[in-house]
Amino acid sequence: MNELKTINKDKLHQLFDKLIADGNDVIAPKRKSEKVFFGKIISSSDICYDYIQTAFSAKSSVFPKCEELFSYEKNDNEIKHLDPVFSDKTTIVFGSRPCDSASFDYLKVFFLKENPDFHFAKRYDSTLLISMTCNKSDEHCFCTSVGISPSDTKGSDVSLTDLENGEFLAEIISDKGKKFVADYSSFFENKGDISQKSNKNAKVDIKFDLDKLKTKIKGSFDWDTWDKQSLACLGCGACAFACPTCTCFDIQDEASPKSGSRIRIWDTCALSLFTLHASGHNPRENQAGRWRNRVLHKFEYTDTKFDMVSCVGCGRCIKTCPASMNIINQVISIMEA
Amino acid sequence: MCNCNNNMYIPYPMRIAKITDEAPSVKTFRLEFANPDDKDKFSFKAGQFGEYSVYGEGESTFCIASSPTRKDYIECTFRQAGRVTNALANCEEGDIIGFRGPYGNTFPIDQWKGKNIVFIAGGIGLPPIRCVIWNALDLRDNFNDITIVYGARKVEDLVYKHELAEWEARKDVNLLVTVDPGGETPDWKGKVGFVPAILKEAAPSAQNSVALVCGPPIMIKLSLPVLFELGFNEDSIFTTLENRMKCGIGKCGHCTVGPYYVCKDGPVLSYRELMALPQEY
Amino acid sequence: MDNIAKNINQLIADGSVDIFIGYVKGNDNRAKAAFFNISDKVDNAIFDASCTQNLAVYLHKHEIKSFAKIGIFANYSTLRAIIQLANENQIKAEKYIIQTMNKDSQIITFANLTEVESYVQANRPAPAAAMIQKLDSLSKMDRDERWEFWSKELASCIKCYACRSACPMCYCSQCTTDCNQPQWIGVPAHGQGNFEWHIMRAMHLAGRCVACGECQRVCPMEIPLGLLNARLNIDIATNFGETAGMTLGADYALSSYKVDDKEHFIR
Repeated sequence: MNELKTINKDKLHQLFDKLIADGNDVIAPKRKSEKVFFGKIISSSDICYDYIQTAFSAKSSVFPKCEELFSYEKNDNEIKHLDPVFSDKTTIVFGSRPCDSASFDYLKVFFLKENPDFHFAKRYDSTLLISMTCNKSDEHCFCTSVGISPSDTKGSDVSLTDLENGEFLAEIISDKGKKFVADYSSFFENKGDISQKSNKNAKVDIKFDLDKLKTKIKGSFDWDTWDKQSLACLGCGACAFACPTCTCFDIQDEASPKSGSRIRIWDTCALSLFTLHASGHNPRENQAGRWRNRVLHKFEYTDTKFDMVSCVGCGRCIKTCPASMNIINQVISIMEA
Repeated sequence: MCNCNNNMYIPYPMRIAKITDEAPSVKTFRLEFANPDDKDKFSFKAGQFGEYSVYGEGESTFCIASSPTRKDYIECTFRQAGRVTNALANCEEGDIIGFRGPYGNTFPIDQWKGKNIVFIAGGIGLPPIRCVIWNALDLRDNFNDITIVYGARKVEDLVYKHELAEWEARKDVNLLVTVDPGGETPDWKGKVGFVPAILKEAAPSAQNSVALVCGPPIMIKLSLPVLFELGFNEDSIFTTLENRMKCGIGKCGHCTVGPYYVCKDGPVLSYRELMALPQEY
Repeated sequence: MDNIAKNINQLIADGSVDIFIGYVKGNDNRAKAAFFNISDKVDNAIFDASCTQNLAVYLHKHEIKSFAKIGIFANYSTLRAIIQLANENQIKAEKYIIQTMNKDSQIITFANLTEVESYVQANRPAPAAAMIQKLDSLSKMDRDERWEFWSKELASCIKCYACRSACPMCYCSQCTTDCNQPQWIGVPAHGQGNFEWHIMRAMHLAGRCVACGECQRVCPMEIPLGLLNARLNIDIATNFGETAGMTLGADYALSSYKVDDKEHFIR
């Protein structure tokens, strides 16, 4: 049983303003024009609550679109490598949905299980996830099809539920969350009733049977469904970059020969350049193969490798696709094949 | 807390001790550790690879082409094909470049004691095999017959020409060097013909043998039926894959073939393992 | 919508087309590209205000090009892109059956590109007021303010290349940004690399952009990319009297010389 508290909206905002004043980064949903994005806020008044799902996931707080791997200084006979400098302050991510928070559980396994990734580890250690369960959903939500629910707390440090009366129910999930709430205990009230949560959370219909899919998808590699479903795919990286669990990156140098840095940048298997050999040979030579790779990676490959399906059902790839590609339709076409 | 304090992306600084021009646009670098501590910590096995970098230009992936039995240095052989390999080609002896590694799995050479080894390579496919050849030759007593079939398009494209001469002179190595028809020079004394045909002619025994194949896809494709005809099987044929790579440690996602990471689960695999993979290499 | 389906079915049945590109309902309230006779059911075909995607982008997609006879149900900007692609020798008119639906819901089958040309000239919509207004406010800014505006907007670019992928005029087999010898455009999605990328793209489209607005529509980060192209389109029209995708056989303003070309901008 998780420890329960409540916090009202004014206190929550005072807490964020204090955290900001103390030099911490607070990442929260902010409206740009039509869409809501996670972004660094300078005041609690920047926070947008009117969103079902942010356009992009919160992964950039632990895996930014560009980050320095190391910097270097070079003289004739000597080379000095320097680790990037990480802030000793906490990054508080507020408002991630349960699907997003669950993605952190996957990211943790992916980046840290074998060959632990220094940069991810540093960022993950200093990130605190205050998630918000879903009171609303839309037609593209399918978390329940991949074993996550709109009320889920996994991956979160603190999980809030909007009780729609000016108060949030706070479930304290992790040790990190416990320490945080203890440090800022004056903002929270020592009361809370978990039964208040159940009638607030959205219903998300199950769109496919995951176990059946896992069986069916094995051996689907050569099926023509990939060719048919991928004809509309334009081969950009919007889906992968919006995705909470897409982790591929490119490595590039930015520098003069004497000093500079090696950085990594988000990359995606949707681009033909991703697999192109220097010889000109491309092992994944058409868009169908690239689309297939992304879908199989989510539902088959990471399941084989980590015993984890790496799609969290957030629906972002569907919403962001310029060509209305739809991963649910692809999955259903595999189920029906 | 994750307690991860090891930034795996930082390379070892390496000094270029020697540059050999092997063939047009192909060079071999002998690299020595700039910091003696790094050298003491470092070890690798046959079949592994690394990320070689020119500061300011980026990293490129090649196998370690020298043998793990030669501990004072590592060597790599590369063809100029992109931004980084061109920058590498412009380096001079004494320059410092970066090296990360060793990465990937290894040829199971320890299990081959007492066996015959057949090496089959084409063009720039010899470097990964050369690592194993020298490893075997440096421990010659551990192995039975050693056969090397190596071919290139033209005479000038053959790499490690001095070593080919050295192997040719050895009585304990059966070397067959060939060039494609039309690729011979007037004074060419080796074979003329494609690698699979020369392999068939050499007909090494499959009894108590393993075969290592590395080269252009077409050479591999046509050599395999010859090997099967000679009696080699799925478990006695090995190759090494090359896919585009960036990180070398199973993170960046570039080299994947289905669920298989060439950089971490490979690059060395048996024919049986290769056949289990989707055709994405 | 029955008449659309009937029409497509007929073209498929009589062998006039191997594939017919049109629209079906997509995600949210957007239509999506459909590939009838291959992957979509003709009965689902639609053509309405939600059909905004520029389908001409598929005409240079490798998988589509391989079909011998291609039908396409084009919206207005797709028609303009088709003219421009023909002007740039990217498509052979004989290969296509081009259709659209006019304001009275009648299906029009174009006999040739000249008919397409007449149609796009006769039906050119007025420029969007919001776009004109934004361009106005941008041109009233001083250089520092404009720099500030674009720095802020382009900082959010993630280099997903959706703008390039959705653009009917971005058909280069190797994009400048993918070349690394030399590395013209910085790969990283940060300040300088993003500026280089978007300025390069806008310049390559100057006088070729058919103003479909796809780049802006598809940008996951809501960057108003259309402003760059709209500005350049106005400059090209003002200085050279040309508008991409409106005139069949038109030369490309920036690569052709005319004696009466203005030279006042050369200083």
